[in-house]
Amino acid sequence: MTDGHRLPTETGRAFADFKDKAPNWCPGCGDFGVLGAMQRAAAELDLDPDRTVLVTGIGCSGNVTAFFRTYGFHGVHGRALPAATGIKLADPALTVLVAGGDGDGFGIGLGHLVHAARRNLDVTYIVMDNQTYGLTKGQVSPTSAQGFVTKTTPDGSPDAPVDALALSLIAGATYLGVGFSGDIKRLTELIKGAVRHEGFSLVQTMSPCVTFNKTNTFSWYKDRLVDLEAEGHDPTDRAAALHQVTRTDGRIPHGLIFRTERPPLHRAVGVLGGREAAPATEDLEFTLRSRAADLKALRDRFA
Amino acid sequence: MGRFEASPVSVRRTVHERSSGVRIPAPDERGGSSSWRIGGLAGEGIDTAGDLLAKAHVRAGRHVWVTRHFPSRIRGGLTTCTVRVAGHPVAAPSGVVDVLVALHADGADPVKQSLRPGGILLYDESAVTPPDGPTDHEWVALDATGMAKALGEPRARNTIMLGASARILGLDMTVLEDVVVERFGKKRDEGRLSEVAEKNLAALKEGFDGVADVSPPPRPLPPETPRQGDLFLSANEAFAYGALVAGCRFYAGYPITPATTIMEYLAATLPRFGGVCLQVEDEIAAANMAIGAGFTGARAMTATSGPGLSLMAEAMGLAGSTETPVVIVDCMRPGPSTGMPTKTGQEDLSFLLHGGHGEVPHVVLAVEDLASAFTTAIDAFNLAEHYQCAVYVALDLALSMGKGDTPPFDVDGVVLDRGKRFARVGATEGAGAPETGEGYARYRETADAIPLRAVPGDVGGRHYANSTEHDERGYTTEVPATRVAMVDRRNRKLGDIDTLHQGLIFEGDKDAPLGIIAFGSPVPVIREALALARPQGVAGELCVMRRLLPLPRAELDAFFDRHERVLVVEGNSTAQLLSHLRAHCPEAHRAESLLKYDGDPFRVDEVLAAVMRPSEVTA
Ligand SMILES: Cc1ncc(C[n+]2csc(CCOP(=O)(O)OP(=O)(O)O)c2C)c(N)n1
Ligand code: SF4
Ligand SMILES: [Mg+2]
Repeated sequence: MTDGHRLPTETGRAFADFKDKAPNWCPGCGDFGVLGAMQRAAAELDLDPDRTVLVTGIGCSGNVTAFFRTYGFHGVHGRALPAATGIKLADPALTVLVAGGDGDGFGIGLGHLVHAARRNLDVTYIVMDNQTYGLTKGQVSPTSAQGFVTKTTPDGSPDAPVDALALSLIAGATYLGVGFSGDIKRLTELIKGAVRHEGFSLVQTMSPCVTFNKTNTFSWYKDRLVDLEAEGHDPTDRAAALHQVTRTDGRIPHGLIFRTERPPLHRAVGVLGGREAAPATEDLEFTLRSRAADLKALRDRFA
Repeated sequence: MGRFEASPVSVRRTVHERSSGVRIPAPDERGGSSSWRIGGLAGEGIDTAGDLLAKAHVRAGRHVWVTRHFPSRIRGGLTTCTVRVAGHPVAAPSGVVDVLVALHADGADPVKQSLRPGGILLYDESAVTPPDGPTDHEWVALDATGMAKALGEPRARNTIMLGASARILGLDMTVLEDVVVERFGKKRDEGRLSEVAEKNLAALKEGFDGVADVSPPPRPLPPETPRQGDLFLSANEAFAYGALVAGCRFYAGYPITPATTIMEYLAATLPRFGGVCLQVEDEIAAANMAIGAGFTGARAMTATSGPGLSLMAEAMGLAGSTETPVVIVDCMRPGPSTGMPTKTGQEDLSFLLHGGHGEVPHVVLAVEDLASAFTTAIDAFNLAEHYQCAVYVALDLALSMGKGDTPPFDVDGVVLDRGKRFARVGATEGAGAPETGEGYARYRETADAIPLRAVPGDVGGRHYANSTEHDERGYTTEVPATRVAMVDRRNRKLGDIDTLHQGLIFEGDKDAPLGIIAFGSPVPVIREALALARPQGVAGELCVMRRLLPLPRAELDAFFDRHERVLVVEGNSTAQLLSHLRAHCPEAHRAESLLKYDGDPFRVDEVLAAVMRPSEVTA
């Protein structure tokens, strides 16, 4: 990436360098573990906080922007991926992380997930899945199980849950992983792999809401997670990945599910004209004067 | 008063109350112009024929305005294209046709097509049967279908009719031949004509030879005053071109009539300037993407029409809260809901003025003709970055889809205002240690209330852009004093906009009793009406609103003060512009209102009638 006008920065960052405001989540909330893994991954990858943007939607999980010390964009509910699309395309040199809840990403924003996956947008999308709406105090979520009882579903959720992993795989995501907030080490590795991967990476992370979801607790997940590595799963095998995300044995695959290579959106033909210079850092005054002849030629096509 | 009650204005008049049915304006209401119309089915080259004729007129130094009329479906309906030609700049149809060309029976109804009595109806005899007995019009037959077949180019019926029209109108064939060759192209090997071009030239000649001279011509063509390099385009194209010149490098959009041609133009040009143009899943995504791009420092925009604007409503506030520059264009068509997708109107004004839920300042600009489409694009991006806010630009279908001529845009004269940028000011004025960013606060109070803008990549400018209410560093807060300070600062941001941007353009006679206020496509119509009123002893001053928000208060107050009678002309049923003026200008209560909301653009005769006939209370 040509990134000429920017100052060089230091390297060798530590976990603490990615700490910002102290989180205001409920004590014991799964999101602490996810934040910790993000900070660990950022330190181990030595991400530059000045060239990294964390984009979030609205939810308890979306508040993570304020706790993670990089540039941040806390947009509106369900629209983190579109905002991230604009950010990544306008400045492909930036490392773009996206984070949010299951409601944000798989409910109100589900349409954008499918499109980001098919575009192979080069961002790392971490979804903190607690199978409920935490911020609005415990309503049913698109990942809640059928029959899940909440104040808005007093007789149990009538809907089958959204299977975001299967959808993303079919739509064209090139990196899929399942993490658990109770296993920070593995989650850190998944996030690191996702950031290194050039393309759309979804890391769906089981992150219990200790306040509003008394069903899907840490131990509930622990009982159901299966270690994909131990199972001998090959993440380059698409059919095997499809099998994992459509498991019918009630178990939750844990680890890297799928990974493949495909050119990301910002390298696609017709996007950015194949140029390396970013719209975000272009000296428009210079372009206006240096390419005045081209601009006038375009104008005179109307003559 | 409910929002959708008609505004309690002293005089409310709609054009509909007088003109039920089709009214043919008298020749003296048409400003010496003449109109040619071609009608046929979609896919029969209707638009191409109109564009070619119009371009030939422009080359010859005349002024044109081209309007298309088509149903909201692609197959089967009648499509028409009307070329109005005049000796003075025009940007509106005249409402009457002198020469009608019918490729299909549906287009051969002289009354429905507003053909004037005595007008010429040129028709393809294989498609149209003329009426038995006497008619008010001169029917001229041509076997366009047969000729096209003989030429081995069945699609050339439109060009044949064009050739015949040239003869009937008394048009110089060489100019027409030139534009046909340009359109259909030369072969690669030096200047040899492509086969299509050859066939179309032959078609032109067949048509020309197939009809007799009309003497005198149906209406004399306006005199030729050749000008150098005049452009022929739509306001959408002019705006999109202006956006490119202004340095727009990111566009995301979703197709919708009449905004799509903006995206089409940028899709063809942006990548050549290292920019991005994407058709995305919906308008919610489009607006959020544009804001994301704006956050990084790129100049970004999206364009839509009413239904898409409704979907963007939440993003409107996001731009305001995060103080991110973005340009959002609304090519208006009548609502509510899907409304009339291929008709024009100015019904979104109130929505644009409010701009989403909550309160945050933004700018609303309007385009009234081709020249202002270009300059407004430049202004929109400059104001968005200067004030770090959303700028909405109102166009309407009549301008978005109409095409006309305009002098070449002044690229060299364009000035860019990138606003207050942290990287430009440097780490020192940003204060504090660059590598920690501790001294910098993105939303900190400043003398002019406009904060110092850093973008990702600026070392030391690290911050948090937040849709939730926040403190000066972007952290979420609900502390009442902080909230109040944030709202107050944002509300002050646009305070000096009158010194930076000319929001009103005044034209005509400052001393006349009559003043007219309008924005958008009615403006050129009013210009013509005032020009026609003058010889009849009625003068007036026109106030063109290029900025609707923040309202240029002082100048508007002075305008009301100097005119005894003020007429506000707008394309909706509830007098939204007048309501807006009344909310801010004490003298606006005595203004009269002229409204139109049937989906068609204002006509000169309609405005002229309101100008000439003083107040008659009808509401
Ligand atoms: C358009 C819109 N609708 C509704 C809301 C209210 N809302 C805020 S967060 C949220 C759901 C949060 O659930 P999830 O995304 O799972 O995040 P969590 O709090 O569980 O981390 C809702 C419905 C909103 N902010 N915006
Ligand atoms: S409500 Fe649930 S998701 Fe939100 S912070 Fe508390 S525990 Fe976490
Ligand atoms: Mg949730």
